[in-house]
Amino acid sequence: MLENFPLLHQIIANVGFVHLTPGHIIMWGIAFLFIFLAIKKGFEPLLLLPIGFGILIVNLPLAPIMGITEGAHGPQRDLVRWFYDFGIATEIIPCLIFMGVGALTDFGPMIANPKTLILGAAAQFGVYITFFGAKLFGFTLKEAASIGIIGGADGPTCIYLTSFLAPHLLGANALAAYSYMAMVPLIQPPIMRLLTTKKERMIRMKQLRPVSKTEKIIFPLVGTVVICMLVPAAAPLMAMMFLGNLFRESGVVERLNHAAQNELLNIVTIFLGLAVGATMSAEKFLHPQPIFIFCLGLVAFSFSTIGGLLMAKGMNLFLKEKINPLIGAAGVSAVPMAARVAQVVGQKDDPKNFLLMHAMGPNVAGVIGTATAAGLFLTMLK
Amino acid sequence: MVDNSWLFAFRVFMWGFSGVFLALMVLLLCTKAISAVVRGTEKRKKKS
Repeated sequence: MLENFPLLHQIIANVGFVHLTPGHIIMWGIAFLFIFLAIKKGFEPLLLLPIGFGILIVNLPLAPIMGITEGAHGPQRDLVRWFYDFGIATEIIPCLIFMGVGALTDFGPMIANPKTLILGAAAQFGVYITFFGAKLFGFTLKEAASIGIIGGADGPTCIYLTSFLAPHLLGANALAAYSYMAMVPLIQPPIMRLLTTKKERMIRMKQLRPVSKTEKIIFPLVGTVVICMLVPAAAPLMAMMFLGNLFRESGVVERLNHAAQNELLNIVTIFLGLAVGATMSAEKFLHPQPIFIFCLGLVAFSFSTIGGLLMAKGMNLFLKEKINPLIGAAGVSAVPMAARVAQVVGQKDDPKNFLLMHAMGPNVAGVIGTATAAGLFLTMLK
Repeated sequence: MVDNSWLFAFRVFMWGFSGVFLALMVLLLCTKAISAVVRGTEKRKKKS
């Protein structure tokens, strides 16, 4: 009968509900879960909220959100596809986020105690262990590297590396990275308590020396040259981060500093969240692979924590002034959450022990370490 | 016979992890050098 009313037939055939599948409904559930976690639990809301919304809209059947079609004047992209193709596929957004991160970061605690750079390096242990683990699960080397980097607990770096090496895993990897970053206060403390004695957790560290403005200005310049010369593939991330930091420390470009850590960072975060969420359509996401990735992400995160802790304990064998091994766990990049966790766990045994500033050193060193690890993966696998 | 991809993965692990350490150790030394030079200069300025 509908054939007699071709327009009505066309309208009904183009109603989304007609094309709804169980897969779409499952993805809606995942989207609502992330939106709930963001709003109600406050888990990384700046990212999980747009990511959740991106998942929702890409799983609305027939909605022109993420498609790309060949038109008379070249490819025709849907709305979020533009964000993805020009923001993520080109690597622009992760690098701009790093500029904002640099503008927000105070490298002072790390400059005052440069030994913490070793902790930042040791905390990349989980990245490489998981690289092997993922290979064991049958992932290719490129996929394994992009999964391993989740252990660095650095969202933009994870997205940067994944979009180069395994763009089809972008949604799952980014979601795993941001989920685990939000769960740092749940994942790390049991591992920290298991691997340290009460005596070690109660070690008090000497107050950090004040760092002069000159040191803080020279550091990003030297850091850019050193890291970008040693690992050129990490240059886009590192250069942007140190530029943002130079804006902050120079004190002469307050407007640029403000823009980098506020307007620019906020705008690109919206695009990033939506575009990452929109990569998770039911057809691409509902496979065993993302579940493996979530499991491997947890392994990565745990081993990174272990790496930092054990390195701090190892360093104490040689140091006159002992360091509290809890700050080693802050070597995973999740800034400043991991440093706060070190402080909280330390204060449970000694309420007058203030570890936050000490833990910020390995925390920011971890950001540099993860970006360097990503650069090395790119150098060897691209 | 060892699977080539496993051998390659092992190499990536070894070179990658030691590469991160090396890069951060070089940065550590540079940071120490910056601090020494800047603090030395500031002390000399104060004395004079």
